[in-house]
Amino acid sequence: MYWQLTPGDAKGLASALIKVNGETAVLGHDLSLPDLLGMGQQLPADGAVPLPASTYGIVVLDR
Amino acid sequence: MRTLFLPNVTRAVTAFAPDKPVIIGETSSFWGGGLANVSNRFASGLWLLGELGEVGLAEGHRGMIRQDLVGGDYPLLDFVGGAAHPVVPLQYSPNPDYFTTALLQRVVGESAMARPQLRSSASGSDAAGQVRDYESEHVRAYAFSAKNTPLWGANSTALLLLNLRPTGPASLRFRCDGSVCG
Repeated sequence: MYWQLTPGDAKGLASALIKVNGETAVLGHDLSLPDLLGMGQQLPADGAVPLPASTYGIVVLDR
Repeated sequence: MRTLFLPNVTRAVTAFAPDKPVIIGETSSFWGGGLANVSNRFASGLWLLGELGEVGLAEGHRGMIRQDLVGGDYPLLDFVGGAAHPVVPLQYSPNPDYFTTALLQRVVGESAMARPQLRSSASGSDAAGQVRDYESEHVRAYAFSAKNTPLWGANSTALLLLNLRPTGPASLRFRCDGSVCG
């Protein structure tokens, strides 16, 4: 699985928001966290994890 | 930090308290209260993952504490309203590192592994096929044991990936030989 973490808006590195695999992470009204593990995606079929410039990510190699 | 601070701490602890684990505290991408629109924004995550990776690799280091939860220009949580603004109810506004640290906590285990060796694809490998130091090209990877969850196997590996280049995407493939992944 992988989680690609990118800026949440056009401010880029100065963004106050973050996207997890393209989905903006926000707190619930009860201050609950989103299901961050559930926002993970399966590795692409070719195994190549994309990482845009000035971003970061987490990959789990299932063994 | 990697080249000077962490080895010096290791040496000092080895000399004076060899049975004690080391936990680095009050760490941030900026000192003195942080830097607005940098250490409280997405950019901070690039530092955070790199620092976690380096601390994980440092001998004897068992943890790292990111400064801070609330306050200054490097908080995980901004807040507005409350007592200072009685018209506005207290609301928390998480900064990007809040979600990043929460995700790290759910995915990454406690044991750092050997630094992954990144080999370039077609354009990067030299004529002899030697492993190139991708760090100099600002693409980094750090390996840890993965947290135990039913979502993956017990011996899974969690990789922290950084593309520090200002332009140009990276595309990374991985494989593991024994306990070493890269």
